[in-house]
Amino acid sequence: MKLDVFEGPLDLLLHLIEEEELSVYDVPIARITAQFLSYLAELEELDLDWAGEFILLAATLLEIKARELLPRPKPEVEEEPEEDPRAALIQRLLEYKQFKTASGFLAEQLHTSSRQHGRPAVLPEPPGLPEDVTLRDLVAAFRVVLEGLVPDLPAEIAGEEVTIREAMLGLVQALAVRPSGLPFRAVFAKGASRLHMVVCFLALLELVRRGRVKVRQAEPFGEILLFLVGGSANGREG
Amino acid sequence: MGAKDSPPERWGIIEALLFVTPEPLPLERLAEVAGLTPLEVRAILADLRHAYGREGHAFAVEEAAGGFRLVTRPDYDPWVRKLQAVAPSPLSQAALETLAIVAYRQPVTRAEVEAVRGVAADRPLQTLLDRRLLKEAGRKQAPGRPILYVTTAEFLQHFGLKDLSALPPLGAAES
Repeated sequence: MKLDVFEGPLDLLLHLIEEEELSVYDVPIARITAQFLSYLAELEELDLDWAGEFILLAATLLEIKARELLPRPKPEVEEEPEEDPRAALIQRLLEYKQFKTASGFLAEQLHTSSRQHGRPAVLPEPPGLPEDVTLRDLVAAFRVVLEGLVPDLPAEIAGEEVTIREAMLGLVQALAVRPSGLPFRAVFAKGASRLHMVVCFLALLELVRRGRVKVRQAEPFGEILLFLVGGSANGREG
Repeated sequence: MGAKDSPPERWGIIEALLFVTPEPLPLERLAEVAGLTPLEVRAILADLRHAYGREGHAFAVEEAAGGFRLVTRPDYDPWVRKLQAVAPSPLSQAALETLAIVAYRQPVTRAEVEAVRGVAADRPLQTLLDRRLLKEAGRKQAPGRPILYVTTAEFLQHFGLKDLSALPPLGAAES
């Protein structure tokens, strides 16, 4: 038997009384005291912080027991009635028992009520920034950019195009000075050729793949923002 | 809308209002919005309850915390829980006893709770405050000016009590 299954000394006392099918009103204090003490004695380690309350009640029980055993001298004069520790203890027990019963009622109420579900009291949080903008989103956004493009300028001069590596470097530099994020559209300079844009897009994809660039969208169909991971332009070789 | 559409039923209005509101709706508020008298609303609520029970609906009308709200019947608890992925979080016996003492004796101080239970009450009180079943309500005009605790509206709602008078008289269950 462990003491910590009881909610406190009154709970233990109540348990002993109920186990013996005794009435709270006329508990044989001597008998119940012996049992109470035997419970305490069974404790291997006495956690004084916790057992203090039990010991206090044990002392009260012993006091009542002693009073019952000792013959009481008849009062010679009408004294002021002394407080009867037995009556006080019974009063406390009855009071505790009432609240224990009430807690049983509450437990039942909770059991029933917790199985009934109403509408959630709080509306779910609005979705935050989705961490993962998918490749599909990026391609769709890129397509929008390309659609806004005038047909390739006829006088396109080969050889002036940037390489993907150069585009990556340029992008990292552009992102480094925009810690609050660079709009996706801003990556593609107006008037640039289709090929240039494709190179920039591939550069962006490569940076995302390497984890150098984070892509976020504040809301569905909203503007896609690009962020540099780590924040430094001169990190690993791009 | 065709001409054959009948005007909204009065019980339908009450049902709709209960359906959209998470917190218990006071009778007066229902009456005000529906344009009915509180007495009429009460009758409709009784009809709704009856109909839900008779027709085997998943809903029930619960009267708690000074108002009415629509809840699912306990029978459907396993599925709702599965959907919402919420585990029941039971209260310890210590917390329940502490709650009972505050509910009946409020406002009370920690010392008054401890006097009844015969053990320290810091932890159960903190649990109950954290779960918003109790709240502080000023200080007692006594030495040390100890904090007073009372139960909350959440307590009533959580425990399906329409108000504090719905608590059975203390000691009523004594055999």
